[in-house]
Amino acid sequence: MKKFSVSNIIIGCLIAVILISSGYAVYKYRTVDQGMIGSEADMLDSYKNINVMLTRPDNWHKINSKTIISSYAEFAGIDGSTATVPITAELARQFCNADDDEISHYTAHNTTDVAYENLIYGRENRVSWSVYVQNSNDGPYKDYSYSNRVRLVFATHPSEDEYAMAEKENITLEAEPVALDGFVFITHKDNPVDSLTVEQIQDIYSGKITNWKDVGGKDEKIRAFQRTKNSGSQTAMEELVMKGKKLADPPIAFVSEGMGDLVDAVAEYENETAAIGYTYYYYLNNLYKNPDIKVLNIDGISPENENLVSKKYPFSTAYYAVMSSSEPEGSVYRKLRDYLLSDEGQEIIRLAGYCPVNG
Amino acid sequence: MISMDNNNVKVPINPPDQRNLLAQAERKIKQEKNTIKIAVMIHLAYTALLALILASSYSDYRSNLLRSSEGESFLAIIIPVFIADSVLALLWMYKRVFHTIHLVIYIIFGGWFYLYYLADYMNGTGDAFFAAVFLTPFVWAFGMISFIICAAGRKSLTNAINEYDHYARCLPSEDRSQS
Repeated sequence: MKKFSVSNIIIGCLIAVILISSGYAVYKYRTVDQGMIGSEADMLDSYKNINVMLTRPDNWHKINSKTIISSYAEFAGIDGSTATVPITAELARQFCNADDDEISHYTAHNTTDVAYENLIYGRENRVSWSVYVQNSNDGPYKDYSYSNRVRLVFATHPSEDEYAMAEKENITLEAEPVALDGFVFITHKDNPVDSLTVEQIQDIYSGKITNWKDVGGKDEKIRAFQRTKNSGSQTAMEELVMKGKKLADPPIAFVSEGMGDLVDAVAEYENETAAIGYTYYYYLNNLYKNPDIKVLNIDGISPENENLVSKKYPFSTAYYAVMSSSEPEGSVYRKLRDYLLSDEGQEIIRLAGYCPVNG
Repeated sequence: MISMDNNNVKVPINPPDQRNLLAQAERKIKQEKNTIKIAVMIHLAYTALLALILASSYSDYRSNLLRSSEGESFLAIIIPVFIADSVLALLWMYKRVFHTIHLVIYIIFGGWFYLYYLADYMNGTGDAFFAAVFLTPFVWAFGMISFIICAAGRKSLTNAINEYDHYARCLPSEDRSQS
């Protein structure tokens, strides 16, 4: 039998590395396109897609008259979308007197799809942080970590896939709206188009309209950005906007991982005014500011609060408090959900900057 | 048995010395073949590093890599180039012409390929593009190292083979059969 020299073995290993790396990249390219999110994406930081400091508003005041939730571990049982981080943050301020530096100790939102998976599969969530300790024998940083099974999710409405996932696990999801928001379409601020009709949006995203000149803009190809499957934004796009019409498959370059990524992509796309994307009005105004973006009116109507409450704005949506129907009656999370639906709770929602359900 | 010294003067060589010289030339041939192998390994290691960086950017779900290339060109360009580059590098060990062809392709297209790769990896807009332009010559220059080592090895191998042939021809026939 022919012996392989060391150099031949090394060469063989290097070839294997090249082929495996290339194969892995191709595999990830294909699976990202189908919305299969790996473990790295599961650990997205709550604040990764937020580029403003979450600070106590100037008009902040204590509203709650009773204690419902109080410990780090209980807050670890709350998960949700990027856009609902301020809800949990405001709950931490109201119930735990958390100041701005401590907010992150109470919030661990893992994005919509991951939050729903955590709720349905009973996974643990964790709040953790490190504190610098001077002159400590155990090292300069002390770590704090509190875990809990996810029991309550603040996010957009569960998608069909998420309902199916829950049904497989014999779980019934209860979803109650706690805040309103507008699902908005954004372009670069220099795009001459200020308003689109619902039909035009549907035709752009189904691939029927491909040039801005067909909707009153410049003669340039429309670059329509989308989000990954089962993200809150993508679910809203499919259910609220397209309503059964098929979304065109985007080139993978136009699928954004996070809400902030999509906003930046639309603002910074190489041809500047050619890009269009979608997100939530609250998120754009309060959590991720980009001065190069503008919001389009839909059928001439802007997504202001009064238009959301009156449902004049065509893409009015809501954030929901979602839990399993098997959540015990007297549990912290059921009480918290019910509290948020009360007048006091809706005041807290308003204080957090959202539009309350009743306006 | 004679040989020619540096001044083209005929110099007699004893057969035992001749066999030593032959053995030396043989060792030199092996040495230069190893040099070429090392050059191949360096080149493959460099390509493997680029491929790993590419793969790791996917594990981070950085869509930036694909944004300016619109995804499909990544499959059509970068991976086939990696594979073709590896195959050509392997062929250096067999024929000089492959090294020459590879070198010509590298000189003409290598810079553009690395610029494309870096611009995509760093999301080729704005400052990132200028950073890619700045880095490309360095990346290209590092890649040239393996070509230079292989070229030097090839030249020395040619000389060693010529030397071997020369000493082999100078051996008496009975000694030639033993060498």
